[in-house]
Amino acid sequence: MSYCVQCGVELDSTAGRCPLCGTPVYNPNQPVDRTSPPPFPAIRQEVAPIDRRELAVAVTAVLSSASVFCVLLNLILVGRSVPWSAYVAGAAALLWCWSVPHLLARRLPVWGRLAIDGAALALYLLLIALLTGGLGWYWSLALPITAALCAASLALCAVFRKKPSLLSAFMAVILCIGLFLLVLEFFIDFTVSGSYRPFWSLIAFGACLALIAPLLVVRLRPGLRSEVRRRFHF
Amino acid sequence: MPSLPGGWSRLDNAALMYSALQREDYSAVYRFSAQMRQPVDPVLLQQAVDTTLPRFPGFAVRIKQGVFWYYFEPNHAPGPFVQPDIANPCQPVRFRKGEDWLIRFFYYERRISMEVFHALADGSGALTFFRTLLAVYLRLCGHDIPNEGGVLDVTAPPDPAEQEDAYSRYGHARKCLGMREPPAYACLGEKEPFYTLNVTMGLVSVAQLKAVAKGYGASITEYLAAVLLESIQIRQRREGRRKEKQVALAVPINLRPHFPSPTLRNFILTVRPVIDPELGDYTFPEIVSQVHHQMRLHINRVEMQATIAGNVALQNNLLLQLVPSPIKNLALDLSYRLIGNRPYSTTLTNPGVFKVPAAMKEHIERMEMILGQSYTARSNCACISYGDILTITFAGIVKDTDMEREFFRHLVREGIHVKVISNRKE
Repeated sequence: MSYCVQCGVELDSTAGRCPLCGTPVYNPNQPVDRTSPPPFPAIRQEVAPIDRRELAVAVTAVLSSASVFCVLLNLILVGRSVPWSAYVAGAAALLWCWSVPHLLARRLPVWGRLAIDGAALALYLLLIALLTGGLGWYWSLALPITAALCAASLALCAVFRKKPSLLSAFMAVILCIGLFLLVLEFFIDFTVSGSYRPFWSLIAFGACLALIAPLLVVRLRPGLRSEVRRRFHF
Repeated sequence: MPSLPGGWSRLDNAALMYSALQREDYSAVYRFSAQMRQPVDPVLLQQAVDTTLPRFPGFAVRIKQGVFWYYFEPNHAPGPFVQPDIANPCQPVRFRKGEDWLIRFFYYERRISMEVFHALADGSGALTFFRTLLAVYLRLCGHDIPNEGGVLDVTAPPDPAEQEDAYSRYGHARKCLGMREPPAYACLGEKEPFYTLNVTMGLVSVAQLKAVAKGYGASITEYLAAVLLESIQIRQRREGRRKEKQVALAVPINLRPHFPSPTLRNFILTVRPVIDPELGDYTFPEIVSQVHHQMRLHINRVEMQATIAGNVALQNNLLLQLVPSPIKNLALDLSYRLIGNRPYSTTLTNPGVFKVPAAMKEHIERMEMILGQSYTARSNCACISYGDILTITFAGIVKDTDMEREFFRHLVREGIHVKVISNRKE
């Protein structure tokens, strides 16, 4: 029988390492038994992912019945002049796009999911623009802002996929917010006055940079990082 | 509570909590295993399951979601089928798959294992079932095993009293006690990938352990709880916290010796042995003494009855009853986070000695118990003894082995021989 030289516990004859500390077993008198079955089976039982089709059907049924009901109500009670039910039906379609494809298409990459969400939002805004006769603001303001929002979300997703530290993640979020505000003012200025004169977004961006700077110093200096972690741990 | 017209039955107080909390990354499933002297015959084991299960209708159920509460109904689906054992035991059950059994049976070499969803029964009830199953299996193997010493007669009709809700029976007191406790050190670690349960077992001699525990004036459970508290405190100290939290254990107590009941369903409460490192550094004998006195103080009939009454009163609250079950699940989940989980660093359970009729003794080598993955990323500890072997099992979804390493090293330092086996990949 072999014992762990670190822990002092007896080990199973099939163990090549101590399960407690990982110390390898070197016992010239009794080599590791590779033929006997280990104390526990090695075969993992893979677990099938949860079937979300039922939930997808339920969501579809609820949203479609709400839309149909509103359209009928609109036709019967109010007449065809005020198509308020189109907003409800559009919102239901938007919610459907935001939920059902994600339930069914598990392997869809993040950029694909964001593209679907962004496209659905853009289409819903287009519907509102058509109903209110405001295609002008749609092309110059709503569509570019939606695209910027999608781009910012995509950038953040790319950052989070690398599993950054809490500090790095926080810096990335602040930077994204600052950049988004710059872009937002650009499109607002362009729509309102036709030229870009940045003002408030620069203040907001400066504040974001002022927040990021000390965090960056903490992030880059291990001693300081350790001190901060000790003082702020929770 | 016996089944109601239509065959369905209500969940007991503990089962309501376990069913509300069940999710993909938390498993209220525990496992008992018997290491036999001879390799297991799966065909005979399947016959034994088929013969034994009708005697225990409380285990042959599936769980369904009602408007206000979950409930059990008889499961007429084929099974449960005996299957080859797996490396990742105690997987969570899924309620949505209506045909899913809430008990499972496995075999591996000489080991027979049974996994039970905690809403069905506590350790005491499940061990009665398992003991009877082993007796039936050994009979099918050609051995003469009498119906005595806790082995039930599988030819007899089921006893409705075994399905009583003992919490409701004893849940009456003039004052109801709550369970509000301060948060404890969480003892969390890095998570393993999805559905991985690391199991580390230590096999120790009961006689040696009893002698050492007696030297401290404590029982085996009290001594093991003290070693575990010390191991967790070592880990907390290593983290270098400026303010250290309490280290506390959830130790389930079988209520049947205090409140007579033939029930095979849940009938347990937990006590909370605790040390507060902010008060100062405890020596190990001081920890043992602390645990010993805390457990003796709180395991008393009157206090436990008031706690049961508090739990049952909450369950019978009309306002709470009228809340739809999905919302109630969210509320119970939140209350478990705050009251049920946070005040404890980990769980230590010890169902005690597994007693069998004399004719069965020679066929079983040892018993094992494994707790399923915890609500948070930490390891739980379960012990069970058979003959002179006490099996101490740490099971969890954490990668590191700090807690169990300190625990077993302490036993070795006290002169106790420990043999360690594990399912961790080398």
